[in-house]
Amino acid sequence: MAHKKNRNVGIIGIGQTKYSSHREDVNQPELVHEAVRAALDDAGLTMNDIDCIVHGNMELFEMIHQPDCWHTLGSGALGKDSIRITTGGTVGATTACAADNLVASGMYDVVMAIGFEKLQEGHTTGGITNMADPLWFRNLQTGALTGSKAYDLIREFGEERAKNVSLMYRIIMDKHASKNPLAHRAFGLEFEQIPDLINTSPKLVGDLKLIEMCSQSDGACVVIFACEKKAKELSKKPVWVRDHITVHREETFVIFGYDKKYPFPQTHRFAAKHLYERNNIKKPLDYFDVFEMYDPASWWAVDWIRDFFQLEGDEHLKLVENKEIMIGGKMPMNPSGGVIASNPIGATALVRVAEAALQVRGDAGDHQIPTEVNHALASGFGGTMWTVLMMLEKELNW
Amino acid sequence: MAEYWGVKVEDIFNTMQERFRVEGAKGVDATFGYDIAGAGKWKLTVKNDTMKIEKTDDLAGCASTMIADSETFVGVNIGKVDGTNAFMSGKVKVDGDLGAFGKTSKMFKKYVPAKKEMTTADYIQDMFSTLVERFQPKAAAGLDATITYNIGGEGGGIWTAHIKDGKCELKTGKPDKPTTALNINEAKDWVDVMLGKSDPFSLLSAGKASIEGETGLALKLGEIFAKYVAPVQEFGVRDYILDMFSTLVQRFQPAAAADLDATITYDIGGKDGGVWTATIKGGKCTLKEGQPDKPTTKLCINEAKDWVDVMLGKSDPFSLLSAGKASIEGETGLALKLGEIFSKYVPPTGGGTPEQELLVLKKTISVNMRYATGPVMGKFLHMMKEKKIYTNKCPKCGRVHLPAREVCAECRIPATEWLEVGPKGQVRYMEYVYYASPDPLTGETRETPYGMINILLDGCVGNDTFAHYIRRDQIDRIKNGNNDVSGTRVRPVWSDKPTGSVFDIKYFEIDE
Repeated sequence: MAHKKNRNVGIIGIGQTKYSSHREDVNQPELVHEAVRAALDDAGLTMNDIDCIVHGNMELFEMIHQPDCWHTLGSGALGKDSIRITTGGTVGATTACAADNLVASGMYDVVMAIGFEKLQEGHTTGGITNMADPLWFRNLQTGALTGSKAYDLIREFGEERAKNVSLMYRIIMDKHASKNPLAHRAFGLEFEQIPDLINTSPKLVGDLKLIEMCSQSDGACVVIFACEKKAKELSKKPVWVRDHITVHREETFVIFGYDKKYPFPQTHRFAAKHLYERNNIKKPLDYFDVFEMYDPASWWAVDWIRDFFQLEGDEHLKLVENKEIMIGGKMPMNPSGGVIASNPIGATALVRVAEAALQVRGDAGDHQIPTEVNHALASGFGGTMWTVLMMLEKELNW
Repeated sequence: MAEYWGVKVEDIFNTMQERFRVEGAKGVDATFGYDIAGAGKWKLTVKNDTMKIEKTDDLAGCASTMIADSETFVGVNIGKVDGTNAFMSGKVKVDGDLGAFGKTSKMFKKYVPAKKEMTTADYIQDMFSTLVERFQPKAAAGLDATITYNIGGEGGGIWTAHIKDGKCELKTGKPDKPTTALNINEAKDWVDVMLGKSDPFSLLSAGKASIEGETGLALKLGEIFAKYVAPVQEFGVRDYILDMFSTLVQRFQPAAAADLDATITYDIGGKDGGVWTATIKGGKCTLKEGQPDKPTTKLCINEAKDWVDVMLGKSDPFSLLSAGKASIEGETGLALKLGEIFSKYVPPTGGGTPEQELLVLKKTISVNMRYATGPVMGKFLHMMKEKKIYTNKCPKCGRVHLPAREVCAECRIPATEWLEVGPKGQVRYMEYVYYASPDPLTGETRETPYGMINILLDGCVGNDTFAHYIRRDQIDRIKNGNNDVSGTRVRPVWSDKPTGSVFDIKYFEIDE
């Protein structure tokens, strides 16, 4: 599974809107434009410098089709080559991968990746449910809500520890979100509230509680990718895209057998393993300085740490319990507050890349981690366990 | 007792009786508890359209109890704290029946704090709380200084502005040696200076104020800080409502109501609402608060704000009616004529440029769709009609697919061998669903809680489980299985009129 690039690609511009449950003050192109403008300003470019636009969102969520056409006024795509990406939760990450591929191939020198969503304007759960096979599972789906990961963690680590660690993760994310002025939700939660929230936060499905689930946000994110030559000319601090990997699987959730003889395929673990192998990374936990993870719910998040870092046993729980995933810890995760704080789905996974790149640049503001960031990892998640991972580097030295 | 935004917790409870809405309490027979940390406990009893609120130590027997701290409770009641956020973040909790507690929101008009004049203390407080935002970095470029305000008298206090590197920070108290200290004997005098009613030189010369340290800096304060502007009382919803009804009689159009003999009641809900009745007879109109036994027409508007929007032309009454935010009792025809009987309301603040209204287009999209099943899924569904669960097997790895699949996703070869499985099996995992998500096929909200089970049908292995509903009254008896222990055994309950769908099985039930 080699991943060959014709040339190196750097991130040279990043723009984000405020994430919010209510952006009725602007329409869709206007919201897209806010992020486009911010990214162009960040890069010191104009639309004349952009060769191609990759537009990502989930059109079912707003019930308009061909959103890349609708958004042309906001994206500045008129007269430019333009490509649309729609891959569910991973769409933002896939948009970044597509932009990277388009530049690395030599087809375009500067590509703008746009992730967008205005979840208040459609029906997200309905949209997600429509992803399921209409002959089979659509009637039963409850969107992205599931209590299965809570069930798994409670089964493996006991009720008390599992519930505590999920809330601990949630509160760490809230503390991070409180440092990010763009975050949608920052409640100001304290660790002392863990026992209370375990008992009082309303249950959604099984042991998945309202406080543990991500929000539905409006927002847009734009990241500009350029070839090595242009990136060095145009940017003082380009962030280099070292590699990315995407792993999909079939559309049904065939994961509920609970039979040790038939472990179900873990796309996160599989993707991470292959990515590290081909980049010769032996200890990912030591190698990376920050990880922006697509964390739709705190239960999933806690479990996935084990897969992404190839950990065993309860190592992942300890990382959370010892607050090693906090800003200042051994492996800071989601200094931005993560998906659990802000989730404009089409932008969400691109925000992971954008925030990881900001950390590498040292431009994350109040949520910048205090130590130097040379190597960053960003993930996307969607569908029936699909994975995208992208590796970013400060130096072109691998 | 502590005040938050000028309101005490007790103010909220003490006004409950007068805020009670009989309409919102119809059919409710329950007790509700309020456990407000730092203030006490209250018990609300609602029965037969009456209510009683009492302070108590014992909340036993309440259907549900709200638990919050004083600040959050007041904040939510006066609209300073977002109730949903407070609830989600655990600052407001409900012990007991959450649904029952939800009813209380309809039982009371919202609490409106009495408007009060700003006192000297309020002004002083406001002045210093806005000091940092009034700071002008350009005017203070290069300045490294501390400026202490030592204000005596009622409402006074000591504050110090620390200015350095173009930034300003305000602290209470006084450092050892401030660059400049302003001593003002009476807070009231300083308020007058700040409101432009007096000037600092008069105070200094009258001996009512003094300056220590660098006098020159004191003279520059007018540049370093932008002028203080006292908060303006906005024309709020309540003001509009009162203005609307106080002008109703003068807006009456006798020509349009020549032969009319009618009473029109406006019942306007929400914290700013009230009940008024216009009596029209002999070409004259009078207005009274309250309502007669049988008004000719009664307009009920749930939220005063919505009615203000209608009157200001930002919204229309039909939207309110169709959204269930308003209703009409009695003669509907008369309600439709109100626009002729009364001339258009013009707000007193008219003349300025109104802020542009932000319109939102609302649509419900309903699309017919078809989905060809193909021969493989087609066979699986066809066998459902015959009350059989048929599926296929990978000839290479032996995986038994559920549902039937065209190819084995792992081996990438056609799955050609058919076999019958189930129909009984064991539950391997149940999603216990509390969240009332809409059924995407009907748009209707499912009844909760319900159980979605993943069944390992007899003859199947591994993760190829069959997903379906469990009989709703059995969800609390379901045990999940694994390869060490069997889950609850279940069997399908088939529909009488199968159509070739997975819902030819209505649901599964415990096989006992």
